[in-house]
Amino acid sequence: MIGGAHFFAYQGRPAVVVQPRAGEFVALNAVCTHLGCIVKWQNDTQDFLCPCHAGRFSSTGQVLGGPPPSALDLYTVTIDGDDLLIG
Amino acid sequence: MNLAKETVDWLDRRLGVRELLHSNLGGYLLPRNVNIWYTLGSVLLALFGLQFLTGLLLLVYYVPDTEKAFASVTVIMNEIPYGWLIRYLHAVGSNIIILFILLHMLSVLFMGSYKRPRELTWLSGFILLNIGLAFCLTGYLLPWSQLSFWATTVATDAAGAIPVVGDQIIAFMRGGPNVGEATLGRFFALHVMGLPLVFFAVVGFHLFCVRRIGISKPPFGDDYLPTEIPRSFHHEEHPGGIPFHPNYTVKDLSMVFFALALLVGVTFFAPWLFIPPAALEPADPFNTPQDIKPEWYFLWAYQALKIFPSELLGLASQGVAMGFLALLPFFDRGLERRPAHRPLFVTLCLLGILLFVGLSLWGHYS
Repeated sequence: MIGGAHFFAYQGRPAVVVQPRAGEFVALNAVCTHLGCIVKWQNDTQDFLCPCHAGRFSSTGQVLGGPPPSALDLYTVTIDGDDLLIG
Repeated sequence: MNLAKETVDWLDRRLGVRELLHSNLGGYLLPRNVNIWYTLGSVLLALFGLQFLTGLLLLVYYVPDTEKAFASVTVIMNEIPYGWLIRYLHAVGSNIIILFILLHMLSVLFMGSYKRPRELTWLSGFILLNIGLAFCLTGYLLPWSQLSFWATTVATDAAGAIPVVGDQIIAFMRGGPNVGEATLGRFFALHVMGLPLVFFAVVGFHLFCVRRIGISKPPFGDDYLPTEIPRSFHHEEHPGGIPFHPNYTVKDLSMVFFALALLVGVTFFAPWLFIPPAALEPADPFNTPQDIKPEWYFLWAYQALKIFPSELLGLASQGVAMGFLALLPFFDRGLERRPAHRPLFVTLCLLGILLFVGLSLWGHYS
């Protein structure tokens, strides 16, 4: 879904893939870089919010505000027909 | 034949129990103006005793396994007769204990009872506060709820801000990279065995200090004047004072029953104050609940971690505050104990309380 996010397990850790624009996918480690909580996707603002200490990240994982010291880790995404290959 | 008298006589001939009881009860004199704030230590001993009793009963049915822990707590709450009461008394009791420890500390601060020669009494009391908090933190994880899991994730992750050894400390506390089975095992062992052993040793030392040095005279009334502390050991006597028993034990007991009434009142009518919705869902390592907050006594630390630009600064600020409190009697060397004659200290104390309350409210509503 365009503008939506899908959470999944990647190597045993929570990860998320978002589709900011049609055909464009970004996969990220969903663990907040502040203190390890799982970020939540905010549909209305199209960014991530950490429920523990209110850190905010853009759809590409960059820090927008709050205490997180660094961006969310990015995973490479490859489109293979109808499938997405991550990592 | 009076069996009780015979038993006491038998013990008295071997251990001198009559003399022991007299010197610690009827013959142990306290200052005449000793006030209700001096009962908080006894209240805490009673509350801790109840925690050990309810904890022991919970141990009968609790299963320390990530697959079974939440279910076992559900069984305790719903199927075991009075299981809900035992668990709520234990959970609410931990909060009431922290409240009374803080009140105990405040009374000692305002009456200047931490000052020399009672530095070790204060220091051991401060260690007991930290042991109490460690009991809370380790006990928090055991139900393996969403609240348990994420509170422990945040608390252990914070150690990662310590330079050089941060990651090793996290791995040591968790037993792996994430909070999981190994973490539950570690916290369970600490909660039911490690911490109680340390607790008994430190309580013993704290009570030894109290008894050995003697009760401090409340710094109030016309006859109170600061006195020079002798350089050699000196037990503070209170000739003409009131006997510990029955005069003071009655006051102690009345406060113990007041605390128990408070505990039972909250347990029956408002347990939700200390059991938020996130505590009612099983742990899900892939989903942090919305608006998750720590317990009220950790809110100030939670907010400090939010407002400082780096985790290390947030942690360091907490370390400095706690370190300063722990070592206060070694900085504050003056003889004066009357609050009215210590305006600077009382002002700083009130500002400290305001900061604690302000940060906690900010953390709660942010």
